[in-house]
Amino acid sequence: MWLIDQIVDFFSFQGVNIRYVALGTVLLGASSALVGCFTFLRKKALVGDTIAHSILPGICLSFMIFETKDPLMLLLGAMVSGWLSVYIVDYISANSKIKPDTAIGLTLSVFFGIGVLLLTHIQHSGNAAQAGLDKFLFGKAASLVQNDVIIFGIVSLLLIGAITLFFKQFSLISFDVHFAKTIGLPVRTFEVILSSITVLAVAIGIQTVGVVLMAAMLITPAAAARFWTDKLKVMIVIAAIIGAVSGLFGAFISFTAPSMPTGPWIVVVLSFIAIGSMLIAPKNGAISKIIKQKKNQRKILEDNIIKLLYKLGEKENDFFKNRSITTLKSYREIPTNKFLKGLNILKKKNHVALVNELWVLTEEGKTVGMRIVKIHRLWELYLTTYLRIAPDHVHEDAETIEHIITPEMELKLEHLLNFPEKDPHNVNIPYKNKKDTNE
Amino acid sequence: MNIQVDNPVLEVHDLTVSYDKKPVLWDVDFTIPYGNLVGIIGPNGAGKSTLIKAIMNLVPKGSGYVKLYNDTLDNVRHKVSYVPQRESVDWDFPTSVLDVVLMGRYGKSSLLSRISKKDKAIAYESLKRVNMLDFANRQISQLSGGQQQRTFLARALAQEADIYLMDEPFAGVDAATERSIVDLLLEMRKEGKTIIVVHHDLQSAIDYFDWTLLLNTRLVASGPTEKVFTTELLQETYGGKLTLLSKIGDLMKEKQFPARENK
Repeated sequence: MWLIDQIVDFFSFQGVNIRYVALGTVLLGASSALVGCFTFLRKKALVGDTIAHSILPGICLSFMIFETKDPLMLLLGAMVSGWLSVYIVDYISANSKIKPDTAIGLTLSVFFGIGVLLLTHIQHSGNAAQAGLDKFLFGKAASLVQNDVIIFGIVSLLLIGAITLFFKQFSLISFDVHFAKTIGLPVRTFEVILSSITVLAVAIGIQTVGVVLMAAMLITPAAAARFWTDKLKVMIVIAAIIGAVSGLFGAFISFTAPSMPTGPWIVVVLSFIAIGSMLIAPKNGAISKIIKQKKNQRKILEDNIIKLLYKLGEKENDFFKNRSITTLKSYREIPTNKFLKGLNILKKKNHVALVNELWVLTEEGKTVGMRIVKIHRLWELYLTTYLRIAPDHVHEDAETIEHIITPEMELKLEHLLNFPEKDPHNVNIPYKNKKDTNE
Repeated sequence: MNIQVDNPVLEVHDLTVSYDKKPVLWDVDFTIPYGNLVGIIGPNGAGKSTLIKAIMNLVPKGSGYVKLYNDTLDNVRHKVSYVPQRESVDWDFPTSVLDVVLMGRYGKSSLLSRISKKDKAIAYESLKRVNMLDFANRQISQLSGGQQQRTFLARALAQEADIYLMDEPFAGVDAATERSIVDLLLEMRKEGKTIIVVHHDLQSAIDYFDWTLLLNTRLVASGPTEKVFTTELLQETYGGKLTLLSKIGDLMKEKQFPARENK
């Protein structure tokens, strides 16, 4: 098997190159995800994009001045211009009528424009050392070497250290910056630290995934992780894992097909995880919403059928008469297949029984039906009494509410209305235990 | 009417605050005695929130100074608690009620130390006082408006301060919650705390507060509530802005004129 061979080849990490690339992308994925959580929570997602684009002129200038591709020197230039862009965005939004989104747009394009200008100039200058500088534009993870990985490792440790050490402060300024100021927290200092580690994360990231994709590395893991938890600490850990896994798989995919670029694949994997989270996350996911709706529809169907049987019993003064599906259908417009599906579920629950092809309410089913009818009528009375809605306007509302009221609410409703005997249409409200009404 | 007191807990001296050079508070000057429940009353846009933000150093002052306990805020910060407006934060933030309340303890311990058992005990006690103990582990996104407000109050209680500045704690809460918050404030006053509350409902103000500030970009009155609540003074507060004053304000903004010559 070709795929298994590839998997074994890659994940045994035999080749030196594989090891560096895999380790580098994992470190990068995890550390940018860590920092990105706070960027995400402070609603500064676009700041990551600004930094990424603004780093380019810094790298080019640093290369022009020092004439070296030493990653540390380039990182220095990247830090300076990245930082400058954050400062300019803040300054413009604070001191002019220009809103933050416009300030971001302006800063990003001006810096990037200068960056591309400088890059083009360098490439035409005939400097032999310039080869490969354009990797900052689109990233080139496959060329990661030992030196890069060491720097990634150090930076990752730095980021993890800063976030662990200042977790309380970072979360406080992300949640409630005014309060943070009033308790005497040096807010500005911590904002600077947070911006600095973001710049750092972006600066090491762009040589792997490139300027354009870097924002995704910061924000997507946080956005995906947010679906899975409501706890900040857990969210940060999940985001880091998502970042690391995406890094690893991006590297693996581009390993199996050498013409495939690593950076874009990392982002593709990341996006799949994010979309997946959006769909399947237990509480907030789209699929769980669909399942909930399905459940609701089924509950409504069951309730409506049992209610119909009960009301027919009430009308004909015989709750346990056998009735054919045709008779039932003449009272309520439900498609036959749905009707049968509902009846069969009710049969399994022992709320109805099937006798000679005819359907009949069981004792248990009668109780259930009575409850729904009671709730329906109580709710109608509640609406006319407390919301002053006209009696001929309350039925539709009660049709829905009867399915959702819990036993606790039912009890409250009964006591609030003091076990009334008649609903607004002057129909009897049935109670399971007649004595209740006298309490 | 501006009744000044000796040995005040809070002194605001000739405070002017401007947004984009337009003064929103003009030469506000008053003193507040110890152990009172104080209401800052005035119409929308009167600068009520700005006043307590200026006291807490959250907005820059154009002129004047603020003294708490006859000292600057920086020196007495641990005795002062600020409750921001409920809407000022994102309640979707991934955190629990208890964690928010524990933020009230951050200023107490050193910044790098961990939350102690004592901090937790105080946080739970504070939650109990606002009747939110059952919600300690609830995610804040699931809270109702009144519960959000009580969470903020619990955080303030956890600060164990002596003077509390609250920005609209009754905004958007139901009558029952408002009553329970008032009871809590009265209880706190009994313990000798000073509580300053931004409030916009005139009707209830007269029942709640011992001391009242009437504010409408300038201070109209400061004094015991029963003395301040006169038809004349209320009309002055709510009778609209002084036309000349707002015209000057607009002009200062247009010319980008400083609040003081040497600023």
